[in-house]
Amino acid sequence: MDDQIPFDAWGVETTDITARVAAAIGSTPPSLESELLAELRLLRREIAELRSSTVQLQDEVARLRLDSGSRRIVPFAPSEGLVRLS
Amino acid sequence: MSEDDALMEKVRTGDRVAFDSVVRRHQDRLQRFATRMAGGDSARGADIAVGAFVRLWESRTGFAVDGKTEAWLLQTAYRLFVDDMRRTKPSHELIEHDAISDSPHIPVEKSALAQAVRDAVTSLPESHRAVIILSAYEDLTQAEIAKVLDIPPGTVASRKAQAYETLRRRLVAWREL
Repeated sequence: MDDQIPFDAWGVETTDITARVAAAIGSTPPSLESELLAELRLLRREIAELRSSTVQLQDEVARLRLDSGSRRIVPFAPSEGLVRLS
Repeated sequence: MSEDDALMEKVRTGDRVAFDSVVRRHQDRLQRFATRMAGGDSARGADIAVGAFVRLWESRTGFAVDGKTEAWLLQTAYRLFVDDMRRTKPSHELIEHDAISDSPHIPVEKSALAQAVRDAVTSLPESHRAVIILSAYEDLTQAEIAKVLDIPPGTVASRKAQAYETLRRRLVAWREL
């Protein structure tokens, strides 16, 4: 429908309006430093969660090894209905 | 949950850093839409975009986080544009400046074509103009446009067809070049 109309000819440039919006709502835009710090905090939280789940997984593997001779498990999935291989 | 929705959940609690992220995510599209609606007036487009974000901030506590942040912003920008247009300028008023026509490196013919396309789109009634800008420039689907403009999808289709017919007539000279 639109292949005959040269819409591409009309380009529009935009500007960064974050400071204007921040001023309009009565705040100052967050600095790059504070944004990076927020991202760093988020990353640290994710790393801590990963460490915690790794420790849990290791504990679970150790418990299963002690519990029986040899068994295959699917990590992070329910064990109900799985066929015991040995 | 989409990234927009996760941010809006934080914005609802007054998180200004999250709100700044929302602005960064949507400011280009909103400005492009508003600037084209305003016939290429980028200053007016930016004003409208700022106004839409301010409305979002003011509405944050009652905002329904349901994956429609962008549609809400575009709809608000459209309403702000229509309100502003009715208060101030006639809809067919054309702006004499834009990035393309100001550039000395762009051939005259291309610049004139840009002007012709801009004039043709800007001369459409604002309800048809919005449909064309959202579909041709912002790649929104018929259903998405219907949500933004708060009209039935069938109305979007009929406005689009009428607008294309008008544009074809007005740009026929360029097709023959």
